Amino acid sequence: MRPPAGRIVVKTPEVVAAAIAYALVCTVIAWWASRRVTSAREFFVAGKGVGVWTLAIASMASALSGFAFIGGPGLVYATGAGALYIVLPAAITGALSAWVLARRLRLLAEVRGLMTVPDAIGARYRSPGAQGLAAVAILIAIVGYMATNFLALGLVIDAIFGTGLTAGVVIGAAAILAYSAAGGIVAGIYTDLFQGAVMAIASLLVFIAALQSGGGLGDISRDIMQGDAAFLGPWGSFTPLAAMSLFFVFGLGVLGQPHVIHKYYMVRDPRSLRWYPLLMTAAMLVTLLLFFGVGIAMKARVLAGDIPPLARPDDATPQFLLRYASPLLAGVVFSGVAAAIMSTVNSFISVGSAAVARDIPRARGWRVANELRVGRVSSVVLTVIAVLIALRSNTLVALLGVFGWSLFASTLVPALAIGLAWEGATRSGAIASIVTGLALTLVLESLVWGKVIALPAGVSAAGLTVVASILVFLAVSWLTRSTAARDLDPDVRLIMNL
Amino acid sequence: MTRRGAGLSGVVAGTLCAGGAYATAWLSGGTSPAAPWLMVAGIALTLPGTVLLGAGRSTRQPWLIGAAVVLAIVLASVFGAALFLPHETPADRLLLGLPRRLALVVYGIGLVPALILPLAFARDFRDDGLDPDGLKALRDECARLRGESS
Repeated sequence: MRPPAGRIVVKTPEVVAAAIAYALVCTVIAWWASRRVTSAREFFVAGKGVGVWTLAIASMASALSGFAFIGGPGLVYATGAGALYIVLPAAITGALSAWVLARRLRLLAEVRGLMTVPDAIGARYRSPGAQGLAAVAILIAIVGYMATNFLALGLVIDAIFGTGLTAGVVIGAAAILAYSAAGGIVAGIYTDLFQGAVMAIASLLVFIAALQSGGGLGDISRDIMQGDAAFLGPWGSFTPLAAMSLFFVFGLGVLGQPHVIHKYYMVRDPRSLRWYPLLMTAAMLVTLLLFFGVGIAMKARVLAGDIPPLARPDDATPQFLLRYASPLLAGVVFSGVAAAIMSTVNSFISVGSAAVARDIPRARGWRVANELRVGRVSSVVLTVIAVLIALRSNTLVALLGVFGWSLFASTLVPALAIGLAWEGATRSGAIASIVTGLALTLVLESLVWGKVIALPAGVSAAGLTVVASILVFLAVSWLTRSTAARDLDPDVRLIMNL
Repeated sequence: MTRRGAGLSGVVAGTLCAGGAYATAWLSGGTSPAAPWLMVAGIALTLPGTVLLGAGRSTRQPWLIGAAVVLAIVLASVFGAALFLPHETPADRLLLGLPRRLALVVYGIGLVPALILPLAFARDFRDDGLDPDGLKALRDECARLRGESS
């Protein structure tokens, strides 16, 4: 594997101590959780026993990967305000997702015993085929996401402990696998709760440090405006269409993030969902402060001549911490980065193992005698595949990494989010939209990534696939509207209309 | 038109606008001035439309409709202003620490909906039938419906 250029090392006693303390807490939580898991229901949906505070913070931790702490601030540093359109939808998506999905998914779990997102698609359209197709799309997206996150975790572990990248990837993957396979989503949820708290605290403290580093937001803005006014224009270095396209895709796409929305199945008391958007939105906004603050603070310091330009945009957060944060805060933040990665990956493992142990067998008509055991074995297999991809092929990691969000959004948003709200949706429409999203994402993203075709400025492959899959879903459902009533079971219709 | 009908119309029209934005950008090589305005319409129709379409029947209509309308107005006006207003210079005054157009986007899109939508959802949310007795009744009713249909 090609070693990364300009390796970052943060091996100070404070950082190492914080990382060890963080790992110890995660270990204790995982050990406790693994003793509670005795059934597939607990392994995949935590026995429907999760409180709303835990649900909101764990959902935030799952939704935000290491990109929010490393790649995101780097993107802000490199491209200016245009990068913010990835995170600005967070002000809307908590409520949007709750309005469209929360109540329905929780009640479907109540009356149908659903455990996975493809389960819901299968139930909505009386279609094992649609369920299986959704599971395949999820699996492809998940393996790519896991590989990129393992690579990022390896970099963090190497930076803190000096293990080397390969050992860092293996150690990180083994740690996540240990608690995911043993404790399933129960371990995931409660480690996510702790990890989400670490992420939020780290982000808030770093944001304050970022403002202090430049004398406040106004002084930071003035420093940037003197040297690069376009950086703080509303679109940064993006075109307006490109920036708003990000907002469109990330705003709608949240309705198709299986590792986040499957947590609705787990809430103990559905009445508590009333406060979910408030808690989720607050948690997201606090945790995303770092994304915004570090990127502009580092740009201001570079333009003011205080520090030399960064060798790579992704150095923005590490360099900021080394220069402007206390060693203890740096330790908390590096643990926060690891937390962000681990919480996301563990949710992917849970969703992926459910696809293998439950969704695909059901689509094929196979009976799985022990879903818990198959789920645990699937967790191991998926992790090994992702680690091998991460260690063997930088090219494949990069290609699979770009599929993730686009696949989730284009294959699941129409069939699941619109389909659970619209009685006129049909099985044919759902299958056609999933196939369109899957095929178009794989083909278009590959052609763009391989530079075989170039899209005009502002046109994104993800945006095109989301628009195409929604339009196909609506058009095919309309053309086959005579089957709409037949494709909907009366109990599912009842829940859709509650 | 029903609330859900209006929501579905918003989703259809918004998605077509977003598709139109990509189509005009593609045909013009990325230089069409209409493309960003079409995307503004796409966003301002699709997201509120999804809220209206997605919310169940057990909602207090005025809060839901109010939230969707406010969301549409905020999205359209802020993105429209960001496109329409003149570029800032280093000599211009800042608005809450940021250049005017960026401040509109960050506080208008990133903060205002975060203050309004979760509270509207909480006000809108009805928990009738979600207590343990209500859930048992729902399970029984759904089992009865499945039995009838099979």
